[in-house]
Amino acid sequence: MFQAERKVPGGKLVRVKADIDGSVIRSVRIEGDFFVHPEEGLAALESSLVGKEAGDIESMRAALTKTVGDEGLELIGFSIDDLVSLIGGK
Amino acid sequence: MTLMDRWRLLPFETREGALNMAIDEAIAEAISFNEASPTMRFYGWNPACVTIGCFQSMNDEVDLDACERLGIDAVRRRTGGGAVFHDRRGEVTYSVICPESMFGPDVTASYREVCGWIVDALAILGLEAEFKPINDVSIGGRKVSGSAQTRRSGVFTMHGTVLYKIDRERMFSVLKVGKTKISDKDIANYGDRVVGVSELTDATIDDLLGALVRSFLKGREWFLGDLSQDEQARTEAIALERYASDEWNLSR
Repeated sequence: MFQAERKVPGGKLVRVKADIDGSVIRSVRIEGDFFVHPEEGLAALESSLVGKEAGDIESMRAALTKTVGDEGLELIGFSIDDLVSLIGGK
Repeated sequence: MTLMDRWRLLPFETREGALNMAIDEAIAEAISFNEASPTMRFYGWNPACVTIGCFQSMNDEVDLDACERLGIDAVRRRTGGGAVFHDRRGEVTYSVICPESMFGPDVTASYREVCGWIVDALAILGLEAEFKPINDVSIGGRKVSGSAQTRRSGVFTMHGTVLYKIDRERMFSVLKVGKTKISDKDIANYGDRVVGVSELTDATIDDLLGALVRSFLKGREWFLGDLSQDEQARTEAIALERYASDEWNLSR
């Protein structure tokens, strides 16, 4: 299980736990003391990363950006880039 | 003026954590059905309880063995934010629940507004506090209050705590303080990053409650009310199906 975390400056703590098979993300949990409105959107963010290459930062960023747009999500205390760099830093 | 223009203030009550969280949800539900007035409540916890944000891992944040040993509940909120130790008589907790239209869409602005009411309440007690974005109030750089909000079905719910008397040893026996979050400070210093009102003034916890009620209701039409029978029944049901269940509390 891959795990990484960061305290976003001026923001919140974000911890990513991922099951990465070779380089492919099989499952991922995004945890921490941040806010997502609406809250159900976090599960959508997590699912949008499944099947992506953990090293493919552009593809992860595009998937997360699309989910935020499609679901009308507001992320507070962290950003898409924080998630991408946590997983991409593997 | 209609029923919906006036705030309902519920009497101060002390309850277990699952019920406290279920009440907020039952009220929000009733407001979404247009069956309840905008509501403010101030409340306490018995037994003491740790609540965690809805995106936190229970096991990462809370020492459940210590909770069991000390008779302290552990409940997942439906709001984001961090882990909070709610000690008996250690704080005053509030909830503000109303149609979302009363606050508008800007989340940060609504934190600023309600946290401003807390700042004003502390000023009544002679304390100079300030809003610390995103969701805190601090005095002299130390956190005295934290809040969290959610918006669902057109209803705004914000709840939070104002610390009165902190038993730091008990607090840190149940909270696992994340290493990354305080990488710049020692664990020993972590307790100094929070402060309770009782450390700064002679005000009693009832004085704090009174100041909060005054400040939150200032300039507003309000009445003293109770939960409706429907809200009470929904509270029991929501507590059972969600906040008292391992499936919810241990879901992360």
